[in-house]
Amino acid sequence: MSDQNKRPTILDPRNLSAQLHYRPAGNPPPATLDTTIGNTCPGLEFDFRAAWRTLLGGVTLLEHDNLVIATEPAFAALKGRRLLRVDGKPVITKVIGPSTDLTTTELLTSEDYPHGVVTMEWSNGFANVLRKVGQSVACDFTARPQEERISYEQAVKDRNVQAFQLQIRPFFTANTAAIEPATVPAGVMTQGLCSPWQNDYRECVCYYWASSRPDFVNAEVTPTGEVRGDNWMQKERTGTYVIDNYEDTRMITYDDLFQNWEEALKFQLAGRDAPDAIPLPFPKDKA
Amino acid sequence: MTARPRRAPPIPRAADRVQPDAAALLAASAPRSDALHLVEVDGDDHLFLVDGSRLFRIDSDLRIRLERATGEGRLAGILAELGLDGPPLIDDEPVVNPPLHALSLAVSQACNLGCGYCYAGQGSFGKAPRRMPLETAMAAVERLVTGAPEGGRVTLAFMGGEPLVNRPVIQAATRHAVALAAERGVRVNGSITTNGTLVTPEDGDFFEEFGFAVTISLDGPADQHDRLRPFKDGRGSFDRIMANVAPLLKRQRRMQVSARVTVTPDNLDLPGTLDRFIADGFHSVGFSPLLRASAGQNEMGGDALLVMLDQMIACGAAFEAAVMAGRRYPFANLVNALREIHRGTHRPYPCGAGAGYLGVSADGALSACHRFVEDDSGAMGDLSTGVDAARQADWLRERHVHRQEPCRSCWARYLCGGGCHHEVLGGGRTSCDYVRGWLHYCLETYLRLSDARPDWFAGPSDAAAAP
Repeated sequence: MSDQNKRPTILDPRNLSAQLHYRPAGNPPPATLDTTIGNTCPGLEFDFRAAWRTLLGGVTLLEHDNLVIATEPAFAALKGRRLLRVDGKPVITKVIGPSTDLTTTELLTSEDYPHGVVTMEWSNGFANVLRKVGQSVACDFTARPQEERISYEQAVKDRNVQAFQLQIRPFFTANTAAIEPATVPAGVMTQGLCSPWQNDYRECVCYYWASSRPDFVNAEVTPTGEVRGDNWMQKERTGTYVIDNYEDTRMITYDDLFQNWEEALKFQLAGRDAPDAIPLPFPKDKA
Repeated sequence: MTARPRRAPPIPRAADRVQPDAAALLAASAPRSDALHLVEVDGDDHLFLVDGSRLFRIDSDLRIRLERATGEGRLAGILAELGLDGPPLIDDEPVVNPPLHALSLAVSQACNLGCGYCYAGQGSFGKAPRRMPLETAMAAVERLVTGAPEGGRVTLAFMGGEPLVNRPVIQAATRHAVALAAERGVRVNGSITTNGTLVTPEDGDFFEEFGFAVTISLDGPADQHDRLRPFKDGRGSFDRIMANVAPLLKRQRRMQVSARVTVTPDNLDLPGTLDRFIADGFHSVGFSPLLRASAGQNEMGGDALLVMLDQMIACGAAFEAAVMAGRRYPFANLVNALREIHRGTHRPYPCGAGAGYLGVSADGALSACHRFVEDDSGAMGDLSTGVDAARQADWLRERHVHRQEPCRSCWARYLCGGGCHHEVLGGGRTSCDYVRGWLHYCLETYLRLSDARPDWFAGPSDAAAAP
């Protein structure tokens, strides 16, 4: 991979494909669509969803929901209400899909989503107003605190909609692809991670890591065509994959991770454990 | 009968007629690298990266390094340093089993005009004139709509010959397609390309009801058009067409009525034609050079293409002035090129022919597109047995731009896609200089307008829309 931190010159992406594939100086390799890990849930690095929580001036949203969880004093009345639309565009949607018996297409509901309404991921929900930085736009909220998610149509029917003018705060620092620290202060994107963060290795031990972190490692094809290998989280590399169970003593435990993650976990190079002789790039934290 | 030009202007030699703009464009757009192209606008340097059609502003130091590295054959290191390396966005693999999303029905392989240049041999494709039976059209509709996924969108196009010779089949097929699509949650776009001589106000009602894209073939004002597109008995067709089309131009809301101009050495006054048709109320106006005529007549050679490039630039200047002033000026060639450059369109084929788009002959034979009707070189099976998967796979493998010469070394290959298959297979690539010159001009225009009027690019993607 090239090192763009050494980039000596102007390279200003002008059209959309150039912007889409552009990796600004300082961004890590998995910063473009074709190299990134395909999920937005809390990962070990950061929770990108949290970056959007304060895009609308005066209110703080939950990172995964349209609920207002905090406000500045001028908007105190909005706490506990739900955001329905921004600048005329909905931030929630009804989930419609195949029924469980695959015979019809219907509104999909569940205990958590009795109205079949979900909040769109904020980077989509706010995409249209990013270009209106500094402007006030109409934001439709429920007219009263609202525990369950409801659709905009239902809110209109219930006379449960109230519009407020909120200012769009800058998401990017002007003329850069850097997230604006005034809107997203340091720490915001990591504060929602597991605490301690090493839990994530245990919680998401298998069937989770995308291409950059295979969970089936040291794989080899035997002469009979069988594939043998190890679970990345098993303590002893036996060549026999151990199905994960946190109570199984063959697996790395929470305590192992909290106390000794640097030695318990192994780097993977080309799908295989890297030699232990690779020195750590930083001094081990004795604390 | 073949139309004879009554007033054919001589084709000027490039040296004594061409304005410096076109000649300069040809020099600036000449192929130097298969990986990049450099564009200077108003003193600023820009890099067009062929892989992904990515466009960057760069500084002069980098331009000098890129020029030097191109000459010395060591571009790879600089591109890696810039973070522009990595696996190519288009590889050598052909498209595999593309889903069908558009069919063009040759509902009439007969025509009442006698255009000398017609690729379809005055409409009949070299065979006895015939019309598509209703059951053939219905079978085509069912193949198109039932193969589409729920929520998908398909295009049902009617061409010929002159399709309105077979009006009842057009109407029945459209109604059937829309009804069948509604049952399946599929959307249908209707389109028709017609010579306009048979269009009635009732046709306008029908096209409006179903939101058709209506393309009228017009080759300029009366004197130019009538030389090129007369009735078979030699009479001019322009006045009849314009009288027929006038009610549609007034009526268009859902439908869009556009003019398509085939450019020959006999009708090279493009700015005049563009202004005239825009003033008439056409939704958009597009120009296409005649590169391959079935009788070899009136084809555009190098000098004529150079004149055309000059004319296109003049049209582009009018477009640019209009956009800057916030006026609509639907010069389709430039509108579409700017939209594609803005997106960074990059594709290994010039169009969907032989992939998601197929032609259907009056007899129900499938072909790579409407131009390959009755032509074995583009045969793709038939409606009863379906797409010939082996022939389609061969086509997609052979037509991939990585297998075309001199495309493989051309910076414009993913914008151009290698040129119209029908024209290339019939007569080779004769317009590469013109295409590159035009695309270079479009890149320059994009860079100017995206600075001056970014709102235009954020507007609706309607092919001819302007703020």
